[in-house]
Amino acid sequence: MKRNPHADSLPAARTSARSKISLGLLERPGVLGYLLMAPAAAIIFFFVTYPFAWGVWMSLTNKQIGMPWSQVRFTGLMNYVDLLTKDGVFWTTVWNSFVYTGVATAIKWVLGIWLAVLLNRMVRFQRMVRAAVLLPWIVPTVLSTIAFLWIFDPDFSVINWTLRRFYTWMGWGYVKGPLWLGDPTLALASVTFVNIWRGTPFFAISFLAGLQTITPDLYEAAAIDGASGWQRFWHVTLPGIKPITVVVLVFSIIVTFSDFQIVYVLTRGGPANSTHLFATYAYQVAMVGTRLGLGAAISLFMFPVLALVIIFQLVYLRREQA
Amino acid sequence: MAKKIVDDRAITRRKFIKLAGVATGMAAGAGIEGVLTSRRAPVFAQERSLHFLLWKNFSPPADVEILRQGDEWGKQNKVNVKIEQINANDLPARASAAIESKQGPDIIQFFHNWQNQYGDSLVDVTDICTALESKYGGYVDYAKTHAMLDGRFNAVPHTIVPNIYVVRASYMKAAGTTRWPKTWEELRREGKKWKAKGHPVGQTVGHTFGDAVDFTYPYLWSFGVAERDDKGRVVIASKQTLEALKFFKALWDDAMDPAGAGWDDSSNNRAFLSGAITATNNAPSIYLTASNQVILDEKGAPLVNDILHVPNPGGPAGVFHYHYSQQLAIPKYSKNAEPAKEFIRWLMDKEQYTKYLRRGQAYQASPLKAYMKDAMWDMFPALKPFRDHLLEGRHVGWKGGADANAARVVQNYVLIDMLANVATGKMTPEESLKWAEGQLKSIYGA
Repeated sequence: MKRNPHADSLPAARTSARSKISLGLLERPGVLGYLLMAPAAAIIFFFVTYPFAWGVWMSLTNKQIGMPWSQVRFTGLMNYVDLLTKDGVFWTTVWNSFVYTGVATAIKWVLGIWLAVLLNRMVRFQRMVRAAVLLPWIVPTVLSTIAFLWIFDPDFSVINWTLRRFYTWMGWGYVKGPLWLGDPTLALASVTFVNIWRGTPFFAISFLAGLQTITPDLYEAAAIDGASGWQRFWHVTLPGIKPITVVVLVFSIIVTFSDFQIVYVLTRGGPANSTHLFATYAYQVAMVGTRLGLGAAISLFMFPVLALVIIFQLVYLRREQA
Repeated sequence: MAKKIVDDRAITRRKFIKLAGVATGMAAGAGIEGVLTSRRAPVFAQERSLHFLLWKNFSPPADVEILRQGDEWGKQNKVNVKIEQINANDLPARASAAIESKQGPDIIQFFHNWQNQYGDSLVDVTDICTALESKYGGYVDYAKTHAMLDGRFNAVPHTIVPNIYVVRASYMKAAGTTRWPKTWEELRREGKKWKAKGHPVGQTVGHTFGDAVDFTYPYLWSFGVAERDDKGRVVIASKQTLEALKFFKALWDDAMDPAGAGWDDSSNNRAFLSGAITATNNAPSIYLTASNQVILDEKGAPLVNDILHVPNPGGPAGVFHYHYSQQLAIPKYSKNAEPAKEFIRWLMDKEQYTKYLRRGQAYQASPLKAYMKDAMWDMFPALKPFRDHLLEGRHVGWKGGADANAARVVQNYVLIDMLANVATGKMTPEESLKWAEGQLKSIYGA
């Protein structure tokens, strides 16, 4: 076959050279790495960074729903000052948020470790029990919270009904039962309980994964040295799951601190604002009360707290890696 | 060289397009081949659409009727009417999202004076309202005030949900009460007896859109309490307010169900229908549910025969009621503002409107005074007391206007929480009054 005389013509040579350059660029980790990261970075920019920056900007203005941007004025830190000095509900919200997060996280931690240790020891029905333990986490939050709305109803609560029957059976007379959502302290305890019920499986399954990385030799060695069950737990189990504990605690604190659904469904922040969290109060002020700037300021108060939590996690993990 | 064999039965690209064009383009009278030949785009009549957002009515037959009417008007006017019904507590957030993003429903239902928070974002519907006013005997005062901002109507008053006291007559009688209390003090005294028998007065002071507002505002007005004076200054910190709060603590402890602090708008209905409470401030929904579902009382008799509808008790400043108005607004972003106006005019026309009110079983009253004589009240005579006290209401924000900040006071439950703080023991009356004053000043800016 006669060779095409233009085989080495310029366009073909250019294409070949271009291909070589492109391949060369893609083989460089510095270029390929950024290219592969670009889609994720774009998503984070458009769905996280941009809304966050927009929220910060709005919190520095008097923006209301429907207000034309030509009428929006820059007010500096006035929204923040007003919240700190004039808004009684804001300080109640701060208190509620810290109590809700602190108590719920601590109890989920303890229950999570306990469940994980039990699940780790199980031999029979292990898969079935693990699946059952995960159910509260899997069921959509709003659905399970609606069920709790009935469990906490003062007239139709299954708990109160049982209590009334018990009191009658014991001859102690009539008892209405606790006001789960009607008493300010009990209402906060009730929403915290629902959060614990929902969040404990996440802790349990995460700790279970951590427990299974601890080599049994350590337990045998401890047992040989005469360590009791509690000593083995304290000196082998807990240190062994320390890294996963930090990660799980941080995620849980972030999610719990910014919780919305449970409070919105059960109490909408009542009674008397005793269950308002940052997210629900920001929603009430911004979306229902149309004061977007003030609502943005409320939600941004969460940022310093959560940022500190994340910084702690990063510092701790880097120290562990070092 | 091989000869290309052409099979006449084979479908070529040209043949396929021709067939497809004939099959799908017949209605348009052109087909793709016709388009290609004439070099002109086909003209299709664009179907208009209308999206109407309103609440899931506490009277289910009214829901069915509004859907039917939407369908009927849509077919007559070749408009695809989409009616979306949601929980009333979620309406404000949906409206906010739509107005801020400038896309969403073409007609939005608002309660109380919620839409006044959206300033100039709503279409001026003064033309519709003034025509209805002159035709149907004028508007009930507070319903008109709630629908107006800066002298113009930004929403069409649609309905009013009236609220008075709903009472179990037999429970009153069993406790030795011979007539419904005329004052709050009498209610406290008689309610104490009902509570001792296990059937207290039920009232919510929780974060909910209807019953909490319907009780709180007229209760405070009956003690002469006002949020603002007629110059717009916050005047809540008065001796009348302190007296009202101190009395409310006594009323709550002596006569009311403490669970009420955590109730929503349906809780008192359930409590009443299950025999847990003697009386509650409510709309006609309790009676209608008992009637429609043929609920029986403890003796096996129809519960409706034991229900009384009576006015609010009075305070030192008189007897007041609060009936929440519902109005329909058209956002300015809507590209279907004219069809939306036509639809609202049609809905408010007597033929359709009376069907809606009557099929809703008189659960909702009309803000147009002419309908106080409508036959629906004879169809449901037990609900006539709701009509009889319909005019005894005021607007939110009284003595000031029903402006955007008055709506924010409602939406942030300030006055309701002022009562709830005292009822739950979270604050003393003095502390709660100071708290409420701070909240009102931060909203009103005065």
